[in-house]
Amino acid sequence: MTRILLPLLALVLLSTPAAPADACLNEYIRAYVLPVAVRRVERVERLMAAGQSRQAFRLANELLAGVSNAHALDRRGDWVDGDEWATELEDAFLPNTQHPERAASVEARAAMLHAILMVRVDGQVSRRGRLARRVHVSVRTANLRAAHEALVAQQRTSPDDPRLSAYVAEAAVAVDASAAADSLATLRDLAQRDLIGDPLTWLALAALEEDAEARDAHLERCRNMVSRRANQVCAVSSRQS
Amino acid sequence: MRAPAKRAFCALLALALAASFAGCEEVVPDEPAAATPVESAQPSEDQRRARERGRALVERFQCNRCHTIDEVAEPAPSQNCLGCHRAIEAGTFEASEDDLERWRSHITNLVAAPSLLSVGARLRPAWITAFLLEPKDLRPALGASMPRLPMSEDEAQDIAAFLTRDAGAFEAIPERALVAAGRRAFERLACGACHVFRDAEIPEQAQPEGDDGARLAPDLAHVRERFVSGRLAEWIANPSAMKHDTLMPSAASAEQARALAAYLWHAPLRPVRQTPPPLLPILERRVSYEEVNEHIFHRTCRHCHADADLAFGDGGPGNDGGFGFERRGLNLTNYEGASAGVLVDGRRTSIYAPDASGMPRLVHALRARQLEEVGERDPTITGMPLAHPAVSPEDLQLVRTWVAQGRLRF
Repeated sequence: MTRILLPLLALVLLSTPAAPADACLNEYIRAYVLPVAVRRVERVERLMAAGQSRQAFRLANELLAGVSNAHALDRRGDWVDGDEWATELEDAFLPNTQHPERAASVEARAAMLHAILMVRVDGQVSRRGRLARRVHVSVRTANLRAAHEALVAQQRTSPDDPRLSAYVAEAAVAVDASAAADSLATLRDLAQRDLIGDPLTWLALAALEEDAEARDAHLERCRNMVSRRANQVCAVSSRQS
Repeated sequence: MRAPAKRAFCALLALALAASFAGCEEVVPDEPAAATPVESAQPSEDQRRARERGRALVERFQCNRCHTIDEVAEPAPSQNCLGCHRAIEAGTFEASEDDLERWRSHITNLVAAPSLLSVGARLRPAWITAFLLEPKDLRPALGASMPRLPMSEDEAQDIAAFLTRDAGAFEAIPERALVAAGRRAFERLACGACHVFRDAEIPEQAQPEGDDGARLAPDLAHVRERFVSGRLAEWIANPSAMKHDTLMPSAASAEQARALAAYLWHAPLRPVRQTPPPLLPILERRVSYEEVNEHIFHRTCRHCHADADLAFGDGGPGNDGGFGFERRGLNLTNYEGASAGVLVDGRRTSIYAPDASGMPRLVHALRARQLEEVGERDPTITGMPLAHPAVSPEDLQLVRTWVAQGRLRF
């Protein structure tokens, strides 16, 4: 049965005329009406600001998967105007498929968020990309290394981005505890220059900080930035300290 | 010194003195001067080179993002500030009605800008140079004004040379005897329906409001510095003959135009006394980012300081660079972006940390714009929002309070 259906499906897809790129949404709408991909990035960031790393990770995961699907679909070149599923994907990830040179930045942002969230969920993600309570130590290590490498790679192209510097420092400690001194120095420098805008980066700094007074000050900054459950989110756990 | 030479020397001295006092009080020579060509028909090699440099500078400073300019192409749609705003206002921008309605409520400034066609036929290069270096609120009903750009005096002169390349104008001071007739014509033709003119002898009028004509109508107190005197009456009588896209109507007869020119040139002006707005004290109540974002960042700043990642690579002139400004990497669309600071001399610097003024850099920039509006330029920082009306004292108070309270997010 499958042998008959698959070629038939392929035939139907191939015989449907491909919609020209600009038939669905024109240049202006692409540029000015926020597509779903962008809104999802913003939602991930809102969840991060609320200290909800696990929920944020799930959404970031979906976002990256969606981008990947859209790329695959685009490579096949069989967009079908009006098709519900195609339109949904198109709406969500159009910038990634129609304007790769512009979309690269949206994708890079999504990848950055995914990587730091992987660190914040302690690499406890299965090989299939699902959040788990506990995964094998080798999977966890591989996840954390991959996240660190992704952040380092991005930092090479944006060396003056303080957010990336902070995330790289945070990830480095997660991968290798001996990086703590370097990470502490990086985070202290950013804190001293007043360039930290992520509550959990303040928390990471507090966890590395040896001086109790400084640690309290960092936690206070964390609490100032987090939307809900500030005392719970901005508390150094025994594992962190 | 022979008598004619002495007279010429005195006239020049008077002109120089008048120019040097122009910033304090508007003084102009009284005596009618003989028609004097401002520029010869054939440009010298130096002039030609200055014009070429000026043209390149017009492109570098992206003057075409707001202005229509001869020989300069329209900008790409994504950089056409005015084109987008006008399309949104007119409802021709391709977006949903809801989006259009929402955007319309945000677009209160920068919906019109004067075209720079035939500038040389009317305006003095020296005035253009001075205006580029120290922009004034030339069009009071417009909201937006000419931005202060990172421009040297030589660059401003070159741009003026390019814009006035079609100059063929001459100087001839309008006749003082026609002032009274000019005042009557001004009232009869209702010039004040669009223009502000600070005639010291008539009561202050309310600022005109209305369509593009009123928005773009210049404050006529600047005419004496701005206009080539010998072209003023001609302009008033038949503006579209001098500039085909002007919104100025041809309402005056030749005789009325001469009288109006005399009136604008010689009528005593009411002095402008502007005082800086007060710096209100820090509030005692809690101020959150959401409130500051709603009043300031979201309303104004993020249009130029956008999030480059989410705007598909274009973070706007205040982030990726533009209007002659280098990349500053400042993203004011969200809390994290603002916290990542701004590039100052290539180094990331917090916008909340005090700068040399002792104020947080963000507060300093907003305050500088308030002072620019009353003619007090701060050479150490560009006032923000660039080219837009300054934030209100109450909004600045919000920002100062928020920063002082440790920038609470919620």
